[in-house]
Amino acid sequence: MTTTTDNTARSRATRRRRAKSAVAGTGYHLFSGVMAAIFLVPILWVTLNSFKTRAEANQATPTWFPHSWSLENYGALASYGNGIGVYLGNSLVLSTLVVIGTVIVTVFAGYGFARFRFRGKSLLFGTTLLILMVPYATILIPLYIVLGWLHLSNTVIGLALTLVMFQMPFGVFLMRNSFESIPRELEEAALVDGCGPIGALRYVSLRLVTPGIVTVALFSFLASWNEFLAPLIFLNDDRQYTLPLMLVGASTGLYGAVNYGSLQAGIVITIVPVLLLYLALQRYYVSGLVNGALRG
Amino acid sequence: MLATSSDDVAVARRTRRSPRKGSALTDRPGLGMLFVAPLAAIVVVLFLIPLGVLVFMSFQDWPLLGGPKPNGIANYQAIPSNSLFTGAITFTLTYTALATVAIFAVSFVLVAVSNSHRPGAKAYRTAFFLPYVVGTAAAALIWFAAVNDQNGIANTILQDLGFTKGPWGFLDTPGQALFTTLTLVVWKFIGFQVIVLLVGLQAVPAQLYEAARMDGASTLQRLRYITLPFLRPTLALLLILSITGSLLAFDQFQVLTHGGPDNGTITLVMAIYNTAFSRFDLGKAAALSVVLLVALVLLNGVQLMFLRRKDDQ
Amino acid sequence: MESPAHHLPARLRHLIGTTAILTASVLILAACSSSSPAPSATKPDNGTQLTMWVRQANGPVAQSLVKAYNATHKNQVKLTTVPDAGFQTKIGAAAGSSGLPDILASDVVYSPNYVKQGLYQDLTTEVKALPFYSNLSHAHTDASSLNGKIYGVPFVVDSSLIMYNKDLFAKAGLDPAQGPKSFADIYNDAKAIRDKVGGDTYGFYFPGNCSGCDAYSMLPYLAAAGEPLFKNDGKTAQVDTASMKATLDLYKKLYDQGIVPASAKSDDGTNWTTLFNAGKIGILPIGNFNFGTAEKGKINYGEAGLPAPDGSATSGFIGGDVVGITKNSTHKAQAFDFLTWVLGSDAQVNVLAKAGDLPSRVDLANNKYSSTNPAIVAAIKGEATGYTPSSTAYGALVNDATGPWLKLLRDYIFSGDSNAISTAQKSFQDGLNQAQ
Repeated sequence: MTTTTDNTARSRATRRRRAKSAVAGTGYHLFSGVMAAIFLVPILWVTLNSFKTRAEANQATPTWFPHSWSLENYGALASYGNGIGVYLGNSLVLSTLVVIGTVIVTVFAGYGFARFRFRGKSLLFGTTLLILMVPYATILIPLYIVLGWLHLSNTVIGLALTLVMFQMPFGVFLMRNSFESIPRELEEAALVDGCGPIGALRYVSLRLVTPGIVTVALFSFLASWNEFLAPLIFLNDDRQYTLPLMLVGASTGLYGAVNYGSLQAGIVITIVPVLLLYLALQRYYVSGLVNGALRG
Repeated sequence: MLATSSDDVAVARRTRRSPRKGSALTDRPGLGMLFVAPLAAIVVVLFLIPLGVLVFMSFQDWPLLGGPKPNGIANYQAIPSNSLFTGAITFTLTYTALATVAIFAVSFVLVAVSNSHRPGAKAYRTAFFLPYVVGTAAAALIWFAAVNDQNGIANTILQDLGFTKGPWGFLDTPGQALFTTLTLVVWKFIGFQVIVLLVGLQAVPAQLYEAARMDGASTLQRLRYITLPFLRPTLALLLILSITGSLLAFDQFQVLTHGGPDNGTITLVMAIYNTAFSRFDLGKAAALSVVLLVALVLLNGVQLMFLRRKDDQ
Repeated sequence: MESPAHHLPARLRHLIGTTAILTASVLILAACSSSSPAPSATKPDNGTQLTMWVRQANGPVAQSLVKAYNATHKNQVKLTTVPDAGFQTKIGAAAGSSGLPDILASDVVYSPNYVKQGLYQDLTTEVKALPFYSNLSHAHTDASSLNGKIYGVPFVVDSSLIMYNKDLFAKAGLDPAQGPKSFADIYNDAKAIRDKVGGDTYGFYFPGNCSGCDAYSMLPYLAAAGEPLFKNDGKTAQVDTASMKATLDLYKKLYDQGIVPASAKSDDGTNWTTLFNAGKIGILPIGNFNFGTAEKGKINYGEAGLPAPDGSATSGFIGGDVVGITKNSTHKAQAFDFLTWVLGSDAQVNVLAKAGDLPSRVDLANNKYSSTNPAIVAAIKGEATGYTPSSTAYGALVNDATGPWLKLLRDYIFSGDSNAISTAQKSFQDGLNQAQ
């Protein structure tokens, strides 16, 4: 008797739970969908706006969808200043330099910090983390002075080195932890097999920290691609200007007028490459963080 | 300390310990130094020397004419009587508290959503993260376009939903401007926090939950006794990042509110920036920068110490 | 192999100890932004490489001037355009690290601040020795003078004024030869056009949400009435005045009675000229920079100065850029050669006037290019009575979209807040006090 009641009770409970979970599922998707929409709407709105005519993008009652699709805003940007191609190219060159520099510096340093003991190790690591805490805007003036002293002011190299420096704290932290998460035994086996330490790094560990490297590369790309202040201050040749400088220049007119259409087209042009890059690398990126950031 | 799979945990536990004696690698300090040499060179030349110049500046009267003159600690003494600076300090602390609370609160909700095993959870997670790839300045410009009284879509949404009759005036008062900036900051930065928390959550061994459920622990109890302790290092890291980032807030206010209205949203870094770049008072700007840097180092040092002591227990 | 990190503390100590010497030498080094380090007071045109910065908005004009100069001189000027929004920052950073170019052109409204901060070299003797000194647009030299010394000369000049559509005037039964000369004229003419032509044609227009545009087109009313916004070297604000009230009342009346299209309320400057250039607006306070576009749109327009409320005088906001030689330049003579050439009649007529821009010398008003358009001649002559509000806080108080100027306009005109003027008087004065 008791078992039957028990069973019916249990099956009723299961049914109830199932019904409840169906309701919960709908509720879940309703809630999450709304949240996701809130996060996507600003990007969607900007994108839609950028394809409106200049008049519609600026008109008093905003519209959601363009009444007539137009490339007017993009056309205005294409011919702006030295032409958008120049700025895109400059941004690409700068970001590539920063990515390469950051990856080289932080992979080596991360390996050094993870695997070796030497004097001044924690001091150097701590000093590197200190870079995160210095007010960015103020250190730029002394930095500019020092770059001038090295004959690197007004050069893309000087600018790239500066941006590499600001990417180092995160990069080194992540790479050190990534290397630490790899069993040391693997490398030692490689050493026994006759590889040198560089060989061990190259053939064994580097492959295992690829997600970490991709993450560092992605972050340094994002940062340098979006950077405004450093290129503004460090570059004195407008043919070297990057996308964000153009974006700001093109969207402000005489006497403080703002051209929302051009502004939004510029934002879209800036966002799209990094968005695609992120989506392409998303898989690596998450696992890079898993191995790196969280094994403090 | 946290890892994805239990295999990894075991491996990580073993390798995490500081270098053991007799290892083929660890006993070659020269080689280690060689690996960190590029980093060290950049740190010294591009960070420590400029930092030295900054500290030097802070002890100088540094106008544009005539060259710098040492003036001892006058720049530091002037900080408490500079209303721009004191206003900025108060505002920055308020902002930091609000932003940190908002980011943590919202991120917990979003983590709960994205940590589900339901189909679609991954897509939601991607949606939450996407704003993070947008640069801060570009994000602030999106807000700038979206909240203006004339053709900003945000006002239209509020009106369509029946919340307001006319434009709400997102940037009309310092309070409204702060609120608007907070929505921007949550939107822009929360993706990173969500991902990091998710990664942390996945590291909590599932058996623990199972065991707790057998013992009849409630959801709240599981949260209190399993999830939170495991997440503590992650939370601490995020707290440090959030507080440091908020205390150094600049772009979002510079682009969106310009510090207005009525100088009501000027952050510390903005005050430093204006002092240096439009008033050309490099000495005073440098002094405040140094104070801010020291405060951040102390703050983070204390947090880390606290964290480490708890770790050792 | 020694680690750099190993010696870090020692290096740091050494570094801080020598920073003073280091900085001094850096200052000298960085000052030599131009190629030839030898101070060359000898020949003004001796093949020196000069650097020059200009804001992006005036990049094209500057480019054509520099091109013409380089083609005819041994000296070569290398021009860099700086985004307007980042201009102050870039100048600040360069000034702080002695990296300023030889020649710096800056927005005339920012030049009082730069002069006060000592960015420019004193050019009093050189400028006063110019044969055409008395004919220079004095608004520019005033804005770049301090304590009787001159630090800059006009580079790009534009002037605010009224443009009116002669065809619409005729349609409304008004005399197309007579532009509005007082506030009463403006109201009556605009109302006549709205009443008699009507439809989608309006009498008057202003961009109601563009702080800079409205300062440019409204402040001259106050100056013409003898009550400029700033007086006392920019130390005192004059907001609560009869002319300010008259100006705001006029705009409010025009807007409330539908003589101005409703869309004006939200225009942030993007559509400032759109309707006028489409032939839909009778009277538009604007700047001479719209002449060319209006001609392209086949608008038959006339020009008038911006009047005092009672029509007793007119004025115009003289905008554009001031140019000077920075204190980091070691080529003062060569840089001044460029400035002299820019102000000379060749560049003024054959480069600026030819392109439809305003020469900055009143004596060149009737040159062969400008004289084809009476409106341009009038605008150049207007430089004699023109005005530039001079205050170190101009940016924060007036140009900034979050400043008190735009708030005053919107509160008074669109919200009907009659206390807005006295509130603004206080905010302006507070802002000026803060900037001192």
